[in-house]
Amino acid sequence: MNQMGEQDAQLWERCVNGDSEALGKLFERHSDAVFRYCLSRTGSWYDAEELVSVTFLEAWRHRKGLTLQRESLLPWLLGVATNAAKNMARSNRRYEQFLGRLPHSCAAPDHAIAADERIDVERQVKDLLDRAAGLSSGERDVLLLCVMNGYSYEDTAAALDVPIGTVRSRVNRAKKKLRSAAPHLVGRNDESQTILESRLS
Amino acid sequence: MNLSDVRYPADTKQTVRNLLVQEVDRQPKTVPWWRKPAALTFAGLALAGSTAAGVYVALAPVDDKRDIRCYYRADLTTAYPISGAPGETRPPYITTGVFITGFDAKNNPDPDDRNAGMQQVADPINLCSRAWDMGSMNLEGFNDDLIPDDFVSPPPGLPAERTLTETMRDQNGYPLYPDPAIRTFGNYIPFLTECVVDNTVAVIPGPAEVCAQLGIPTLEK
Repeated sequence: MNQMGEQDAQLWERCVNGDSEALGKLFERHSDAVFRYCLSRTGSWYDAEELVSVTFLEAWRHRKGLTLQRESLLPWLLGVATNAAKNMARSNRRYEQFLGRLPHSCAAPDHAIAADERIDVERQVKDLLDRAAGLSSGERDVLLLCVMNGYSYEDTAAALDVPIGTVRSRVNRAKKKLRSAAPHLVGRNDESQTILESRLS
Repeated sequence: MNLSDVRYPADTKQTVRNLLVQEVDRQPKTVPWWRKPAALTFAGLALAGSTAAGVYVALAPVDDKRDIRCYYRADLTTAYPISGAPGETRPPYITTGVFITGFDAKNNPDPDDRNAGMQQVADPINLCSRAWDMGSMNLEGFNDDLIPDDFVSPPPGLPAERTLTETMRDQNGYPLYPDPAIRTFGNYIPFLTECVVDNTVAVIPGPAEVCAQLGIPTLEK
């Protein structure tokens, strides 16, 4: 997952020592993936932009508590995003002033992602979230990480800080529930993890 | 569009990155016990009489902020060639300022004041950010290496010919142009830091430490 330059572990160590530029570099590296995940959680471009910033600010706040033992910081950041999303109201209060200054992207047609495509993605994500409303919180988390965003069971387990077996059983339960509530979202083949993602294309 | 095709919006990514860096810099740092005032007193006594090479960290005020230097790079000395004018060079910065509306230059009360007719600049970062936005800081492309690969530079042409609708903001979150009717150019703006050179505000591309790295004071607010 790492690109050229410093490894995540080196950048994270610099963060732990208070080097804010290292956080900037981690943002450059992981903001796309974190944004995709936040978008799949919120179904809103605007809210996802705020959630990404809150995630990196929360990561900085908790930096002393993590010794990075994996190659990539991303699973942990996704875990931070998950918690920040669940405590969105509290997180937004904590960073109220910052979020007030946060610029949001422009949806003008001459921008890279056209407004209609953006609305389309938001609509599809919201549709899926609505249909997944009957899932427990844990089942939704694994559904979003494993199925919608395509992360491995191992990365998902690291993000949610649960055993890998728990991830497997939650995915199975989530699929079973969705199969009865929204059969068109889940195919008959249990091995396929890309069905929901392909639904978003 | 696939969810996997979605990226963090490119038009705000760099600004948000800079805002985050700045925000965490603003947060109070945890100070270990041995660096607290009481410990410092003992440490100071222990060091008294000795000399030690230290890191250059200094703040300096600037009283007259009517002319602001916007440096092309974190380099105080290099002059840049001017294309089409062999042997000619441009200094490592441009000087910017804001004229006082209606100032009568013919009746200048202070002819010796080289900055007469200019007003004090309250936000040098914002002023130099505009110079970067307009492309004045990268005329010959000599700052292309400062621009991140994923930054989408605007197509050639005047901003009025494009349709940028959202107000572009500087690294502190302030609009680049107070008048929302003024369209931004959309050129790359790096993170900027206010230092002091020759008793003048020098806005230099680089992180907060850039002044110390160049051996010059940071602007005291």
